[in-house]
Amino acid sequence: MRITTTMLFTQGLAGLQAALDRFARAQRQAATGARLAAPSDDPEAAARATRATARLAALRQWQRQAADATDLLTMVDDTLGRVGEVMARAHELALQGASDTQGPVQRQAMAAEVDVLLDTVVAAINERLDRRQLFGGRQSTTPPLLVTRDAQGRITGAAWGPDVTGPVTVQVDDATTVDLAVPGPQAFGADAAPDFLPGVLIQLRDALAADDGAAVRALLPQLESATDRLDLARIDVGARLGRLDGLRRSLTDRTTDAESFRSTLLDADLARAAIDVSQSQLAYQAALGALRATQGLSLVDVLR
Amino acid sequence: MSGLLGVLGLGARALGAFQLDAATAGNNAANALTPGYSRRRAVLAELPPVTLGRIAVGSGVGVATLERLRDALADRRWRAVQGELGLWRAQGDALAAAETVLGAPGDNALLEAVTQFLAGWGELAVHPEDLAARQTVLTEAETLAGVLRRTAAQLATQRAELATALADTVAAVNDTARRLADLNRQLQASRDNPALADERDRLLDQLARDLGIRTLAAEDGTTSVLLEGTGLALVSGPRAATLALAYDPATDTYAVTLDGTAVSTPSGTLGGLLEARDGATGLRGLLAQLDTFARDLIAAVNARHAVGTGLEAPTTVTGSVTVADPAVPLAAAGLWRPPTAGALTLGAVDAGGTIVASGTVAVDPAAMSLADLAAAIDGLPGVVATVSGGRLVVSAETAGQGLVFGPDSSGVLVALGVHGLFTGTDARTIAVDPALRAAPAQLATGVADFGAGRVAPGDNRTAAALAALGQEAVIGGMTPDDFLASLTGALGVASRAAADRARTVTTLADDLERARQAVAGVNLDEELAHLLQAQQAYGAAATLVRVANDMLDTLLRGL
Repeated sequence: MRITTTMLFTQGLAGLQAALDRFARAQRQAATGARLAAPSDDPEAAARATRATARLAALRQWQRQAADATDLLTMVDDTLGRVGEVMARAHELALQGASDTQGPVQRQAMAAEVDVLLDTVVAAINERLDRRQLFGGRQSTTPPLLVTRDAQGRITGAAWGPDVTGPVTVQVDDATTVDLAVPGPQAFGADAAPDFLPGVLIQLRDALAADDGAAVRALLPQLESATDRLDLARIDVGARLGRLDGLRRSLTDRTTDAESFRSTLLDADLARAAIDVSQSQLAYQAALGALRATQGLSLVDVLR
Repeated sequence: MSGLLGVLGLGARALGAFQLDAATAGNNAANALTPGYSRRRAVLAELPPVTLGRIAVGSGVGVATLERLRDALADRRWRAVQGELGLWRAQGDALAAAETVLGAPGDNALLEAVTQFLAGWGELAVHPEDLAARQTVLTEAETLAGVLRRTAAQLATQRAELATALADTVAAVNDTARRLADLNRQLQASRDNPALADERDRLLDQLARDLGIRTLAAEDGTTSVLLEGTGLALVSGPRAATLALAYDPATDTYAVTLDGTAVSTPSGTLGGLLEARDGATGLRGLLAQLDTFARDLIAAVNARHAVGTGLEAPTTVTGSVTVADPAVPLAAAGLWRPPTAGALTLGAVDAGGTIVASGTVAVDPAAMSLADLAAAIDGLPGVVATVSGGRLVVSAETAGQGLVFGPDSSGVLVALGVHGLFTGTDARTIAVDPALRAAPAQLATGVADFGAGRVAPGDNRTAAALAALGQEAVIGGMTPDDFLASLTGALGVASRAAADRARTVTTLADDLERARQAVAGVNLDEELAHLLQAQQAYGAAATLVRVANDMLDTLLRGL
């Protein structure tokens, strides 16, 4: 083929452009650490990276929700534990008060203590985390247990407010949900039930104050039944916490996997990118040299 | 013409011929870098000999013709691939620009906004009573709407730019065609003018790139231009046809016509720009996909939000969708999501969360107009409904009470944009309902319990349902991330295919360009060598003149 001056020049320039393009590409990868600058660099990987990114976001969100659920249920568990201790003391007092050896003065003192215990229990039932009622179920903003007090400020009656029901489920995995709600009636009994925990304490206090040993004795089975229900609720919350614990470990593992999968799709191999940069730089220099060499040759120079 | 004077004349003619030869080589060297220049050669020929009796004596040399070195076949081959090259290059450039709008695969603003929005709902599902979490969701919703609007606006801007480029290309083609017709007229008069021929070939090259052509050379020196793939003539002899763009406002697309006749699939830059702007894999298809995403997202989110309850019940809600004629049945009102036959439950709730009044309206879109629907809702206890400016307005009847929406099997709430989170119907119009922005407590997180007659503030069923949207096939039959993945993938494939085709055709075109250049291009060394040759010959001819002069001198002095 006949070679012309322009041909040599454009060919050299095209080679230079191609070398520069490779150089710029390698440099961008090394500088940004991103393997893909646009979907067209690898459409299939771009599509998979989109799914991987969304998957990772979902996993992270579930992790956060599981952590929040754990915080809330841990506090519920602690509070149930505290009520359990109160109930143990109330049981002790009831056993003492039921004994015929006790006189009215001792029973009055016991009644006063039970009254304090009752206040503690009501405060625990209406406990909050941030703005959220622990035992409110779907009634999470206002105290679930409504109490009536007499002129001396003693609690004379208690009833559940509206909407104190569950469940309040939150998704923590593809197909797993966890119930955040421990509605008051589940842990402390329905307000109409004979073993309604605050109700039993009110009756115990009143029986002790009235120095009625037989009535105190009669309350013992209800007291035990209320404690049993409390224990069952604690076991239930403990089981939920156990499941959450396992789930959070699995979520952490899967998040790590998803992160590394996304990284293989999107992140540049930096060692490789560094090698590419120096290689393409060499190629660029060679192209520059070739262009100078061809453009420097001319018959004009020889003929001088 | 023999004799010494004849020899002197011979020398003089040779001097002239070599001068012209040197001038041609010089002109070639001077135009070595001129685009479209074809090198020329002075073709030297012996002049007719003088006959002296029985012998014929040569009378020297002259320039027979100036030959323009050009390979017509190589030209035709080169032009044949230019149409395809222009097509893929224009398409590839436009799609690459569209890719930058969507962002790099690791940095996709839309995907980011969607996942943040869903995460916000997940957070709210855990803390339905938390006002800060509500604010977060509303902010994320606004970000998502903003990203969709911005992406759609950027793609629309790119389409507008492509329309401008189309108009420019059409104007350039028409200009080129007119100049070609003029050149044809001039070439009819002087067919061997190499400068005119060069100009013609340059214009033909330009047309080939702009829209893909075939050429027909006629006997009279003119060249006609046909559009590739059609029998339509753009230039025939001294007459040029006019290319025009026809805009169809209904589909927002352009078509190309030649003197009023539609050109089905133009090639070249023009075809590439058209395909990139209006094609299914081009920006129009991408915008349509984005609109599908926005529409289905609005519908899915609003369908869940509309039947939800918040910490506070709204006293009045106004539909965001306007119906042109409130007296026309809903099925024929041109709604963006036509409702189906079904039932809508709604009522009024007091500040304590007790539903004080409720009722159910049977919705029959085939018979019921917006005004009928408003009248039917108005007939329910505790609520008032009117039509204002083509929008449905529902209010609680009694002061201190709010509205509560129950199950809606007809989809009429979504269709009319009542009690939704988003307003708008596509990617250009999506926005967060300003009423919710002003009252975050009204953001729906729960579901009203009409059986128990209660609305509970800690109910998270609506929030949980919205957080789970990421795993549901709600966008064009796909999950949101699958839809975005396929959108990204499809754009990437189209862009890559165009770039790959352009690269392949470029390689071919470069080969053909070299073949063309091998004949028509100037090699400076060659021209310099030729100049030296002409110089030598000129020196010889000058010597001849001197010798002849000396001889004549000798003769004159000797006499």
